Amino acid sequence: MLNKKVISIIALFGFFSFSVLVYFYFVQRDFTKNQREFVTNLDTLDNYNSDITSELLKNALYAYNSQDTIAHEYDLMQNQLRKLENSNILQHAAYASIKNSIDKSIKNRVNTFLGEIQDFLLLNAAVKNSVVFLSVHVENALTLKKEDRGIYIDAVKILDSFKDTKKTQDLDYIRHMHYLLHSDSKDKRTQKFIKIFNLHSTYLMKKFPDFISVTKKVLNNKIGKLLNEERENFNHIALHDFQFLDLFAFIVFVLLCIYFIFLIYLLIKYYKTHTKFIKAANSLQYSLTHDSLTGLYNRSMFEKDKKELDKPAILLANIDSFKEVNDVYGNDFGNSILKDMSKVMQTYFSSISGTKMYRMGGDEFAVLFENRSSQDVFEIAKKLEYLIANKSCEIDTIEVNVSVSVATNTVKPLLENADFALKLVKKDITQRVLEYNKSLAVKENWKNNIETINIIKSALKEDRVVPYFQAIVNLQTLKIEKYEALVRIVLPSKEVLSPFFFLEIAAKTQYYYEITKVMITKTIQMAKERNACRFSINFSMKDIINEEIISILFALFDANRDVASRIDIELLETEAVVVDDERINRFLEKVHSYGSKVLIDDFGTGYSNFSYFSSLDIDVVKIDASIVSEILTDEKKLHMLKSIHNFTIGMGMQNVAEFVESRELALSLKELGIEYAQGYYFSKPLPKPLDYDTVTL
Amino acid sequence: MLKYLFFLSFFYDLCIASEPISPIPQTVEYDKAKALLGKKLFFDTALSRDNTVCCNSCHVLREGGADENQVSVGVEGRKGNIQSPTVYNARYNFKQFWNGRARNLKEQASGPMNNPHEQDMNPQLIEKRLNASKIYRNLFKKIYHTTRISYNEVINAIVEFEKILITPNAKFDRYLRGEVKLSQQEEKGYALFKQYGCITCHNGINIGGNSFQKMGTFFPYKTKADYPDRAKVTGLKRYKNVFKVPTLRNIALTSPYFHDGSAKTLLQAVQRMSHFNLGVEIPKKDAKDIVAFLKTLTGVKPKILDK
Repeated sequence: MLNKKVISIIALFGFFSFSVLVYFYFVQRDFTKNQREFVTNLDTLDNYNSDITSELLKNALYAYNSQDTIAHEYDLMQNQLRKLENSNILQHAAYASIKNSIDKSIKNRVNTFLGEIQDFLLLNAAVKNSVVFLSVHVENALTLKKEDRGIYIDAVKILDSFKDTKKTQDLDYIRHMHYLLHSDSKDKRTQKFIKIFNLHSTYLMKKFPDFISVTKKVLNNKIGKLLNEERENFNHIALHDFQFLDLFAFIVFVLLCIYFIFLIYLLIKYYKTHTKFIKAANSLQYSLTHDSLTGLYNRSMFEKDKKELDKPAILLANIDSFKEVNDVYGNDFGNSILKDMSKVMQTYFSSISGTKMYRMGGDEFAVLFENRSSQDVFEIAKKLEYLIANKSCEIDTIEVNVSVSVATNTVKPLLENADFALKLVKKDITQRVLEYNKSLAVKENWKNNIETINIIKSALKEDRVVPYFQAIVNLQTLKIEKYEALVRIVLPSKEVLSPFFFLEIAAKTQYYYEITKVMITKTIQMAKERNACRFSINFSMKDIINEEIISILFALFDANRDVASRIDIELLETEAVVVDDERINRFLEKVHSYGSKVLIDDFGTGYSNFSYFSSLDIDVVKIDASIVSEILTDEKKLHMLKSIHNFTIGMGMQNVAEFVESRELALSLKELGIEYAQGYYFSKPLPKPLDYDTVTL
Repeated sequence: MLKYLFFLSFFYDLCIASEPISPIPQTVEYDKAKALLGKKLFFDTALSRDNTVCCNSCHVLREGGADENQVSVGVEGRKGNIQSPTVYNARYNFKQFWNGRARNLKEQASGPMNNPHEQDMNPQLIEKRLNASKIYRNLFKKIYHTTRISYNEVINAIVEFEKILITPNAKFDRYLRGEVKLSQQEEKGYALFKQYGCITCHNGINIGGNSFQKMGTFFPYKTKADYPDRAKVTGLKRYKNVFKVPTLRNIALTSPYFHDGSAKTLLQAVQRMSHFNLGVEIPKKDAKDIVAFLKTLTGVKPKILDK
């Protein structure tokens, strides 16, 4: 994993190299700018020098010429010299020698040059004017007297020498020249001509050396050469700076290279970590949405998908008796079946569009449909059930017939309703596929599970769990000999709740035992009050295997030995608990030891069978309502009743007919010789036993 | 050298083709508000210690922008030491003052104001005077957006005004532009002006004002007094009697002539100049022709003076 230290070191290094880069940028920018400024100043001064020199030359050559340009360039050159002196780069110590020579030699040279220009202009004007004047003046010689006109030749010669000197800037033309005209003529005009000519030629002879000298100085001012030298000196020094910059650039480059290598290293590291992370995330994502065994989507995915569908329909399929298969063949085998089933179902649903299949947990599978009519889904479900029922599964050479219970539903809440329908399917072996509809709903009760538990809890806490007593009549004597204690909950509203509403739910909780305890205690209490009768308490197999209940029962029996002999135990048959006979027998023996009797409840239905009686010590058989209530209309039931009666007599047991609701039935039972009866005809269950002990028929 | 030859051949045609004198442009760019403020200052005697003189006292704009006296009179009647040069077209002079000690109008404007013989002020006093005036305070606030008038702004305004003191459309300028013809005499005068060599120094846009020359190049020029010449600026003896060549524009309006005001008329000036500087005694007829030419150099005064 990436170390924070490494990252911060790289970040610091990056920051450092970037700072160096920025610093380098400013250093080189300043240097380049200053360097360029200086070179430009130097070049500009050089250019002005060339310009002004050519202007001066022009001024020297032409008879007349505007000097505005010279004046302007003179100004420019003066300013430019100041600019050059103030060049930024000269502030640096390395360029002190350049600064020195600019301040001294160049500045002096330029200022001298500017002075020389003034001198040149003064002398140029003087020489030019006199030469021009003489050029005009010599023509006057032709107007002199004939004999004096020869002087014209001499005058022109002298003038030509001056012109040549001016053109060539070479004093040799006039150095040894006789520049004065002379004539012995007495003519005044001649003498005046000569005087004026000589005045100017003398003047020119006097001015020419200075003029030529200053012209040469101006035209060969050497400023260009000086500037060139300075440019070279400067370049030489600047080269050092450039070398330094090169080195600096190299260092920056190396720093950045190192930084980039670091970065690439980080990137690779990051990429690797990231890839691992993505893989982990993917597999996590996969495991979040998929079932690991079958590879189908899991329940959480189902919950997610369900919400996204507009008109969802659901199919729930549950493998029948999977628990038993698992128990018999082991978990691995069970898993193989689950995989096999999921494949079969997947194949089936892959041909049906708009379906998605989920494993909801255990042996339950769900399929979500989008935009399907409930009939469609139901048909699909029926086909599925048929498909699986007619297919055998072969795992490790063991052939197993697997069947499924299927429920479909389109009514919200989707899963709950489907679940409910599936439970109904499970209860009825004849029904393999069921579509949920509202009429199936006794469902309110299911929904009320929690509420019911709360009712039980508060009833226990507030002592509102009470026994109701139903009389059991001796049909032969018409005496009330016994009472069956039946559990009731009195609601705060005084409404009385029968066990139908709460016992099944209570049986799944610890409260069930609490209820049994209350029933034992309160029945014993009642038995004390009414010492003429026997009382029976309902015990389920569950109660029998509960040590606490058993010990409480027998503790109470011990404490009330006189009463205990009048308390009977009614065994309820339930499928849920299979208790071995040994254990039951030990319990029954103990019960018998107090003089109590044992009754079998609801005989003739459910799980009751005759084998009990061979192994268990039973005193009384209670014949189930489903037989008793129909003997008047159903021959078979009557026959069954008679058989049970005969059987109990033969086994030395007593019998009781339940659910006697009419006089007619009571009379028939009496006639048949049934010993006891209980039911609404005699009395419904009441909070207390009746005040009388005889009934009439 | 080759470079010079190249330049020469290049300029040769130009110089022959064009006249050594160029006309003054018809218009120049300027800041009108500043120029008007400058005008007000130019005429305001508050800028002199005893409130007696202003710029216009010695540079009389309604005349030639100069002074008809040989030397000007400053505060308390103190006399100046040189003839007042014209302020018209001064912007085209390469330097200011007779000896060129100021490089531009800005440097020049400070001169007379601080000269004890002229306006005898100093920047502090000028600021104090102007800041005491509500009118000036408002004007400067409007133009320079400051609550306190500074000396620099005063100079700036005056310079802005002086920049538009140009006199375009002189007859000669119009002749150069081909708009009018010169009279025969004027035309001859111009030719002589060139032939005698006057053009050597009096050339360019201002017909002078672009170089220094010695008064008395050919024959020494005797002076009665010690004038502030070029030698005073450079400290070089050989520049004794060297002055800026004065402009010849509006020359007919700016007598007396020369730095010492010694020439009262143009004719006198032409003759004396040709004697001392050209070594030529010009015949009177030629001198008159030259004067006729010089009179074509009088231009049209700027409109701002009408307001």
